[in-house]
Amino acid sequence: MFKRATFLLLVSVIMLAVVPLSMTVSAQNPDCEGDVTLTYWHHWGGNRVPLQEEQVADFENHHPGICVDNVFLPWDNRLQNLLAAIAAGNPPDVTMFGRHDLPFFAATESIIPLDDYMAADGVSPDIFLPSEFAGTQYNGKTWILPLPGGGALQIAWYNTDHFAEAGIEKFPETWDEMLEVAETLRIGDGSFLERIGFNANAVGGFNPFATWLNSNGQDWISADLKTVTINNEAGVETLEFMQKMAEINYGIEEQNAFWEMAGEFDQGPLIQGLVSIEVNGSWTLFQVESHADDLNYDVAPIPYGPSGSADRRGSTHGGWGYMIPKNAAHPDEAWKLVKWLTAEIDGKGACWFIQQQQRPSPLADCDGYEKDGVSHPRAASLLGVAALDNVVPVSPVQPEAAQIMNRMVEDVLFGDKSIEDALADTEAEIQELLDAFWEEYG
Amino acid sequence: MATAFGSQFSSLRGKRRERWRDLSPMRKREAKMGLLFISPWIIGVLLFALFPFVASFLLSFTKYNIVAPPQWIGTAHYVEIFTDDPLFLKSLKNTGVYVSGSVAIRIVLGFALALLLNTKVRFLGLWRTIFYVPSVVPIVALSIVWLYVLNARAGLLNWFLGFFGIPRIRWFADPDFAMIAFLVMSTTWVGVTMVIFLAGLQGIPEEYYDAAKIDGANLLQRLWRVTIPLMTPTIYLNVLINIIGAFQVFTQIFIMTGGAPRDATRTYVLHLFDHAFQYLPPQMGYSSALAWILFMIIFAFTAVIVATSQRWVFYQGGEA
Repeated sequence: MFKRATFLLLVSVIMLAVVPLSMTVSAQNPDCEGDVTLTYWHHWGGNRVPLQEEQVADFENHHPGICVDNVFLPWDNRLQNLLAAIAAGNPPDVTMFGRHDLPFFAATESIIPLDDYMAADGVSPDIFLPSEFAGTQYNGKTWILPLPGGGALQIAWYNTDHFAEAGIEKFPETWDEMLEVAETLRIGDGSFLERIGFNANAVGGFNPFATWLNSNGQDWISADLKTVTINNEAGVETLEFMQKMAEINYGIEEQNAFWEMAGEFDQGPLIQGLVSIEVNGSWTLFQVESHADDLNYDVAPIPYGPSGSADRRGSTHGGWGYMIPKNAAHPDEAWKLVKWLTAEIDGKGACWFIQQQQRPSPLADCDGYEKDGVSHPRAASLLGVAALDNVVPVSPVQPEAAQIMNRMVEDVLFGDKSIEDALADTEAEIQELLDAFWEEYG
Repeated sequence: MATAFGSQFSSLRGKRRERWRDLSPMRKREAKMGLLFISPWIIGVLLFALFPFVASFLLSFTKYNIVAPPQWIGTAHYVEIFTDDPLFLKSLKNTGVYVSGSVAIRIVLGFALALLLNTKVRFLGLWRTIFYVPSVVPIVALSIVWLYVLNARAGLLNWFLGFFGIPRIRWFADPDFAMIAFLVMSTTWVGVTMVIFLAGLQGIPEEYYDAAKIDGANLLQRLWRVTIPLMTPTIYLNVLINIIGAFQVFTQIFIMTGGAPRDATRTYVLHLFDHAFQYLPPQMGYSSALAWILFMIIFAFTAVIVATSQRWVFYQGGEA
């Protein structure tokens, strides 16, 4: 067993190794005077940066004596930064957090449960929509609170001009209809694409295979998080659907090659007009309205498969939240910031932040689509789509499991394995990971 | 045996003490000042090189998730790597392809460029700068640029190849071409190799070429009989540096493909990184074991090159 000093020194060295990998932007209000300075890590990049600064400044105004060092970190490096900081005993006071990362951090008690704070301040779980609160608990305790619009709602965004040009009047309801529509919308010469109708292997908010399995009526993991449930008829149908869609797009290689130049987020394929239908999260509304206000589009629930049903479409697999790491320097003040970011209706708190982005609010008393007293014209249809989303259980080995599922899809689409073999191998591989996790942390 | 070693060690320490006693006060002060000035480097090496080196070796025998102290599990990670990790061999093979390709490209191209830029061409400084500058550009920025250059649909390289009737290549989407794309990208750093070769070329005395010319040697013969033999120490250095660097290829692959498609670009260090920082629970002990295997591989390659160097490296003055 290593002595604690050695352990800390070791972790410090790991932190030093990690620092060059991360690009951080830190902003602290020079006018703020206080005895306590909270370190707050988040991943709100792009056009959300000024909103974050405004929200944090208003928190400081409402909480004299508390200042915030507002640090933007890239999402991709979140785990190594956070793990090293927690282990070194120098974590941020508050950090943005993937709810799918919760089981490991909660099982190792690397974060602080929030139930006592919530009870003391009267923050009831009932103020959040049940689907948004679902991924915040583990072993009967609440570890994180959902951030505004954090739910990875999955919505089909489609270019209505493309639909009109192709003479398509109605958005597809089923996978068969989706395949037909995608082929009609695709433009290409038989080998190379000029426009893609739909790419089933690129969906926002969740792993592509698990997304389609969900819309085919099947969870990929059991509710108790102990059993993988993909090797079944629904799994076969799901891979067949993804395979057919890739064939429409002249095969997996051309589909990927086209997609790699399509860009992301502010430069995404929907915004560039390179795709007719895109399945993405609720954040797309803000992206489209900020960067492509001339785009004619509409939204719809994602189509369902032969084993699915019309009332179960996209998946909410946890989304994101805010939490307080163990060994945070100022946990009581950190709770005030968490509450401001997640539960505050007044001022530039949680409700204001979500309204600026026009996203569905996890707070029951906040209309996320309301801005300057007027609700967004698409609010009703977006909320209608959200109502058909299914809450998918969060796996404790999510990152590796997602990578294995992506590999399975590639194996099938490249023709390396039969669908049946790919499903069986993948289920066994992820099951082994899950069993090992529960053996150690269960 | 132990007693003999102990007495030898004591005698050595005794001699050092005597030597220290014999030093003048000024020499002693100078020695202390020397140690003081060199201490930041010593501390740096101990703390940031030697300690992680030893720690990673110990960690490779433990189960370590970063947030809890490591648990000793012996050689279990090494056994798992060699018996139950299909991506170990896959990533090692991919890395091998990258090492052999990129080292060959950098040595041949770097040497050719150095030969060209060692002549009296116009704007010599400008040409040298142009070839060297890409190697000092941050790798993240380079990766973004190369993503555009190698873009299947609108990339500069496909456009250029089109003039020769070569059909569009899906560089990063086709498993057969994805690693080749990274080999093409490795030309970016050819400037570093070129600069070292240039330094070596400028160290060759003109007299050798004059003598060869008098003997009737043409350009190719002078290159083969004079330049290359006298450049072998520089070639040796460049081969070593490039092999060690190429085995650790990571950043551009992490940014540009993440190992896709079909793990065709999953290199060894990417595989190691995923286990340490991408998966939950983090597998720092497993990653350390992977790191030590990589160290042994690089060490073995280096040892072979060093051992065989006596046969093919020639130093001016006749010593090999």
